[in-house]
Amino acid sequence: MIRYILRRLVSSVLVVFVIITASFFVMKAAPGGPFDADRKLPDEVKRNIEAKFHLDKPTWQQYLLQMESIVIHGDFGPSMKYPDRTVNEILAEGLPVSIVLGVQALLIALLIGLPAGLLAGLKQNSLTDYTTMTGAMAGVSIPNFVLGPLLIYVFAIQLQWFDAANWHGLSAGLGPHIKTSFLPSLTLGMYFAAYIARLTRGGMLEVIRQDYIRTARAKGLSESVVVTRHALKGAIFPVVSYLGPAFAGMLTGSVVIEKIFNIPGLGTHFVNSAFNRDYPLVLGTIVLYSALLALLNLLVDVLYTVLDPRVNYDD
Amino acid sequence: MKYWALILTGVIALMVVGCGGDGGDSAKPRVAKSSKSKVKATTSAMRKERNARIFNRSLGEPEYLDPGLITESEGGTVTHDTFEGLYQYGPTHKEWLPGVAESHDVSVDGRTWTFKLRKNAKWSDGKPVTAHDFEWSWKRVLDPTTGSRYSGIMWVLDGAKAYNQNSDKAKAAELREKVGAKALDDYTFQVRLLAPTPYFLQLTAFYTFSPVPRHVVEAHGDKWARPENMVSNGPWTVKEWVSHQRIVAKKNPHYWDQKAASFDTINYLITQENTPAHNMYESNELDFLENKLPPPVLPRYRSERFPEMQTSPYLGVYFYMFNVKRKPFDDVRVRQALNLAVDKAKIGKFVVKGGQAAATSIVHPGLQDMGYTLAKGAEHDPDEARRLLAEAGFPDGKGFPNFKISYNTLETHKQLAEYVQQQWKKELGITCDLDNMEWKVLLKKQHAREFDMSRLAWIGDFLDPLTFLDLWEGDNPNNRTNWNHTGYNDLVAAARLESDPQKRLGLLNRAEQIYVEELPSMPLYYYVNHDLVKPWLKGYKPHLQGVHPTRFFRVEL
Repeated sequence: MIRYILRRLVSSVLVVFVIITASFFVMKAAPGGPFDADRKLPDEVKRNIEAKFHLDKPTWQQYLLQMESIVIHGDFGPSMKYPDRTVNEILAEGLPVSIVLGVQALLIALLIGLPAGLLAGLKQNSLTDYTTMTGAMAGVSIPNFVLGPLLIYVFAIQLQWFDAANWHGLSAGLGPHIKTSFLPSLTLGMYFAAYIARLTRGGMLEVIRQDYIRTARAKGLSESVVVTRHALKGAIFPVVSYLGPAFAGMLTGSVVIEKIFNIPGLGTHFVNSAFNRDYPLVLGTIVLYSALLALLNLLVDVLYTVLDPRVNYDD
Repeated sequence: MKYWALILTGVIALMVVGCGGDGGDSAKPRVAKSSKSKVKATTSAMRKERNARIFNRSLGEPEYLDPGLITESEGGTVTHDTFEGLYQYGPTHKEWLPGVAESHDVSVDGRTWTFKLRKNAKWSDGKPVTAHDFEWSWKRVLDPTTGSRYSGIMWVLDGAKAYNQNSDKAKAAELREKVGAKALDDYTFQVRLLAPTPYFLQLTAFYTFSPVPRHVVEAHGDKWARPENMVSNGPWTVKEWVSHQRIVAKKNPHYWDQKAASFDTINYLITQENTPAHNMYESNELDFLENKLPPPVLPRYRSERFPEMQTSPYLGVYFYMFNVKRKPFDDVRVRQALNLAVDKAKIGKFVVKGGQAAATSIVHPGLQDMGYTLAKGAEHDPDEARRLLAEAGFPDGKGFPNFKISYNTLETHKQLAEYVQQQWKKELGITCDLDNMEWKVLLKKQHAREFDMSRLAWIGDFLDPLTFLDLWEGDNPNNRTNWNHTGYNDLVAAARLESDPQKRLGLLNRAEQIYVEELPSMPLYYYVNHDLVKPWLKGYKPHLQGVHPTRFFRVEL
């Protein structure tokens, strides 16, 4: 198992390295630079600014310098759009926000999705089943750019229970934090809640017909014990395998939510840095995202072995 | 049974999605009207809760807050409240107020300006603001190694361009010495200009001309303008900056005019997009929404004459540049015909929908307040357009080569391009393609002159026609049209040297006259700003440059 994890870690590092290299050259190939603006700069000023960021050197040399700085010092350098801030500082500010948003959305998704799915699965073809699955269908089909503004209009502008935008971190206290973060977390989590509900229902339907459940019932176990002790574990298996991609999807998919609710997470930088040609920030966000994705995938694969004894990665 | 469930699911899902889409736009005005009393109730509740010493205004994320390096209005909004130049912006564009300077004298030739500085002007750490601070700060902007991207605006100073463009390190000290900015003593600052520059007083209020605290800049280098190191000389000082969330400025206890600061705290609440900013205004998180209205709500506010919306002219003009080296745009008759065929009056009403005025010339009409007479450009005249086009060899548009309008990807640019395209098709029978691209790609193509026709907008830096007219000089790096007209260049050059203000404006008017006949670009509309001001926020006045310093506001509950 340890060997498997190590092997996966090494290959993840290689993947991230390839991604940095590829994105560096793709980025350089895109027309325009960070200091092109409406108003053309005086030539000498532009030369000086570019020299400051090593943009006057040939591309391969820039690549080596950038790699050296990232690999040896773990430093992405100063942002070109925000020159008095380093990329590391910007990422350190944005990442916790994205993670808090993602975790809250995941919790909401599980809190809504799991019970709904279990209920629907247990009472197949009943009114409960149809209602929850209809809700789930709606949850999957309503895009977040519709749901978000709708929630804002009702709960922030009309009822004024929550704030329309302007994120307050946990440091501002739980009250203000919930006031500003509940609606975006709900909007982000809704799609996943619906998907989880459908997965759980499917898993439940499959498990509940298995022989060992019939055996458990035949033993005279109460229905609640059958469900919680025996059926549940099997039923949420598809959900667990979905959690990794789901959380990754929440981190990267929060770009739209961040725009709607004005949340200072990574997604904003991910998109804007590319438009601004802020090369170090583009690299920083890409490395962070790809490392997170690789790590989450590994985590899910390890979790499999815990949940399902049949899965074994050892040679 | 199963089919029944499936159909039911589908119908309900459709209903939900349908409602969702509806709630976005068309349902909004209806709900808004029926809930007016509710909004009023929450408004009065808000008033009880809110503190009249705090001001919440909107902002976009600034690049940085170093006044010498700022290039965009976001940083400008903050530095207008936190830094103070020799003079400062007034409540409207017709007034300029003394700042660090108490008064000034101008020599007879208009080229030497001597400023008397007040002795009680202080930095927020208590140190005095002196003439030496100004000399050092201005030369810092012009120092090419500083990398100030707006240094060009300082080239009106004698010797500024040479120093700013110098790449020879050996000559740097000597060139720096020759720059026309000198502290005669601690409280007398003398400026030598290249030419008489009647608008120089305004420039001293512009952020690039702000003093910066030398002792702090030298101690903290590139990071001096971060909130933890920030020292400034305006009524407020930045104390906190949470990236993409808010900037918080607190009253500067050392500011010389303590009654100027009516708020203890200014919260600049940062949004990237207009929609969340507008939502924050609607939910009373913002007192003032500065030029950040999402385009879809504009027509509604205009049609119901929303009393909180302030519409005022803004010193900018939107135009399509011709590449005059490319056929058929090398023929002035073609350029004139294309210009005449578009009904520009409809743009502000039906296309960009903000009530923008049709532009027939390149100088913003607001500058008539400064005594300038606008050159009269041609009005909409499709018959004349067809005649000119036929004369140029394209009767009814026959044989007119296909060309592209290049613009950066944005809904309003697209709608306008489609409108213009359709007008030319209808009136002249010529067809063109729309070519949208990312902003940086468009800039690259424009600077390389790789376009047939391309959009641009120009926002004036100061209240003088020169800010729009020097753009079309042949050697101006921002003139991307390949148009180089000797007569025009000579008139603008003569205006720069003219010391009589009336004659100077006359020369500029004659230059603009050449522009409207030659049309290196086709002006489309003049900008307007739409600000939203809560009823309890007093002191708002329209300003042609869209500058609304916090000192002129107060909250009355």
